[in-house]
Amino acid sequence: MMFDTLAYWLFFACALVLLAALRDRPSKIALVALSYVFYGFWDVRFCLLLAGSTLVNYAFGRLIDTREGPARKRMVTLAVAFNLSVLGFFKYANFFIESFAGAFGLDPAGAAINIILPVGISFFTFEGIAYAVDVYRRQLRAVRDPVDFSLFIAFFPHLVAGPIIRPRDFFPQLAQRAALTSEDSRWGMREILKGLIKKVALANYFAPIATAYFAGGSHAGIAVPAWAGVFAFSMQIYFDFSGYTDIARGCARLLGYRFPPNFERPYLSPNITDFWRRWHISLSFWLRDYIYISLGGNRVALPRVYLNILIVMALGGLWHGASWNFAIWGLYHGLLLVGHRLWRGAVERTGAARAVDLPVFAPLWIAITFVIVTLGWVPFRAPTLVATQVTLVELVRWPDLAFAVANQGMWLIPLATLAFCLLDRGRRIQDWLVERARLGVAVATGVAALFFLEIFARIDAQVPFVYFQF
Amino acid sequence: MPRSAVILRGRLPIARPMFDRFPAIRARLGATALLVLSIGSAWFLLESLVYRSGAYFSVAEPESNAGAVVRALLVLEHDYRPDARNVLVFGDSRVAEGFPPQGAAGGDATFNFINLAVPGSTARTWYYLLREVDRRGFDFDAVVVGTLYRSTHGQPLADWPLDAAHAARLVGLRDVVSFPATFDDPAMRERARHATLFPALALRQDTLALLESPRARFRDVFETRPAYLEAVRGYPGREENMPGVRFAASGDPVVEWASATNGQRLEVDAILADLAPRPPWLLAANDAFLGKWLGSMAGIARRRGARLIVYPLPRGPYRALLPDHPALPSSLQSLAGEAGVVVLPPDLLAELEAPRFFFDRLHANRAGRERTGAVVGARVREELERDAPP
Repeated sequence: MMFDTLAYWLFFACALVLLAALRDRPSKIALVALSYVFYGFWDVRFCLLLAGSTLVNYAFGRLIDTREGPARKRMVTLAVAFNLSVLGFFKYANFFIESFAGAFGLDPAGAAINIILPVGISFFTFEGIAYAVDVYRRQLRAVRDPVDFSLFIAFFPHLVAGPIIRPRDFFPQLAQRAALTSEDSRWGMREILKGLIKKVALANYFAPIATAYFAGGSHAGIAVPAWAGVFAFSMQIYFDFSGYTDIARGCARLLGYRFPPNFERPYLSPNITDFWRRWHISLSFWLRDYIYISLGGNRVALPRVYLNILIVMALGGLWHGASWNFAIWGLYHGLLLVGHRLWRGAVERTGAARAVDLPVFAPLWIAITFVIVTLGWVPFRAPTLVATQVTLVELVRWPDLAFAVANQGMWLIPLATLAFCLLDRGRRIQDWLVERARLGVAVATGVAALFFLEIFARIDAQVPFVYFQF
Repeated sequence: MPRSAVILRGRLPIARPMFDRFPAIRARLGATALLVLSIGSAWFLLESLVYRSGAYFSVAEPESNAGAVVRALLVLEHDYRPDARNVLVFGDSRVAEGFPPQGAAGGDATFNFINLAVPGSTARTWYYLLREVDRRGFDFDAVVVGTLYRSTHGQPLADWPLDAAHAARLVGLRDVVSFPATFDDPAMRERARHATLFPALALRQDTLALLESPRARFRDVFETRPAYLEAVRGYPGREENMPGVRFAASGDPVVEWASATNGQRLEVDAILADLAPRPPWLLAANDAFLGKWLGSMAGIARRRGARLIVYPLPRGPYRALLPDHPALPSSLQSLAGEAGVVVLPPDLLAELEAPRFFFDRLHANRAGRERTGAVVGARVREELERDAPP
């Protein structure tokens, strides 16, 4: 039951009405039940895993909270180990089997296990770890109410593809049921419509082009050049994932909950460090708070800091999938981050920072950052290491622009998006629509968005949300 | 003192109701409901003005699936004569190419044949088109349907992909449950639902094409189409014919290519590639589909006091490759037993199953068209004369 189907919106409308009609506690219980119904649409068996994981994490939280010293540390270690074991088994078991077999020249076919990857497992196991560590660090007390904890893990708008919500952001919202204002409604609707446009109209435009290139086929009868396939994927993954997050945040807001932002126009970042403050923010901050800081963060010697960055980014890459391609992608970004730190240090030492930071150079730095990020998408998307290599070699050639002439959306959509971002700097237009515009204007904007969706939506593309596979 | 005792002391524990009071519910839902209803209503109103009113369809691409249905309705409006016995002819492109409205009248000015065939359509589309004709109040004396008595389609007609697009002009909110239910495949049902609920979505491709080339569209709609409406009634058909090839009993199928062009060879190859018999379940399913929708058309015709007359299309240009004409399939046998329905014999146009009457593997040429008009037109006129008061 994906966000771009009529079935989901019927489900959401019924959920909205039911939850609004219930008192606080029955509403929470109903929301947990609805979340399990939502999850059960993928596979009813997944609900057992989710319930089991929730129960164990809840118990660990209580155990950590009631212990001190080495016993407390033992409990949090067990909690982390439990979540990583669940994730490791479902996601990485066959990867390790195949890698081990490959290293020793063995046939992995007989040893591989037939495992179905539960949807959203990467997200809810990470939330379980975040909860256990936050309780251990005394940043919050263990939650006593199992319904509240179940809601934290299973809340359906974010269950299958994030954002990874932090316990200390979510639990205070459960303490008091927020009244829903007109502003909340407009904000929620705005994010939902924006997300649907990003996913169904924009991401689904680029998806067939990227798929055609990486599958070695053609798009609308024309062979897809490497630059077009890679650029298309760069657009697809942004619109797809940020669109999903917008819808998730919008739905949560209409239900009375606030999620933190997960994307802040990342392709307008002037450098790679800034990119990782704007792209999949919930994962970046999770990696920073639970791995990078645990490894010592910025408090250790500089060589160790750089090593920590590489380790964290490599693990971040592997989080996306059980493949060396993802590890390479993560390491690539780790190297970029280290490289940026070194470069920035050199710029500041030499006094060139004032010149480098001039606003006139901003478009140049943004373009360079976009290109190096887009190059990184090659191993992320390519099906194999060989395909990665082939694509990178093809990218070195002079680009064939005939594809862009035949498929004008390739350049029209990014240009239009850029123009919108420049016009809507700081989201001032979007915020005006929510906070100050008359109802008629808000309604007209909503109608225009729906018409845009109807005309430009590519629902026939049947492209699942990219991050559902993680 | 335990907390629970404090709560219970001096009071009976009262179970709180599950549902909240109305003011609290309104506070939670009011703003969202107002916004959603406002947007929904405005959107519905705009869609109704643009699409459901038929306004957009007047500029739909004439060669598109939706445009072909619009064109059929425009042909009806252009050619209809209230003073004549109007005979509406339905079918797909084989009827569009192969049935001459003027020729079918046989020079009798009291008969007015109107060809409403829609290329790529099925009996489901013909039913909804007839329903629309009926809704608009056009009187007719007969409904004539040209169809293959045994389907040669390689897929179930119930999930024919073009039907959702054809129906965009013909279905509305009242069909939101019934129309999707006529499809078996869930994906097709979803498309059918779009056609009824979200006409803008169903016409997405057409709208994109309009935005891409508005000038070309307006030229097609306001220049080319009016000329078409004037000319279509007298369309003579295509002059070309299929080559007179000979087929061996076994081995290499084509013995002599005669004077076949490369294009014609490809047509013959396509015929030979498509000779494999269809599985019994598919034949049965498509037979039931045909019977169901022709039966529904018969219902409309009966209500209007009109006849439904079904005639068989010539099956192809090479008689040697075709089996003998089988008996009527069960669906048409039961249809033939209904009042007001005439199912003409399966071998009515057997003589036309020859290359000199086809310009490709499916469609009749000028000669085939004229002969069809003469034979079928005569039978239709004969049936209607029999019903006419003395």
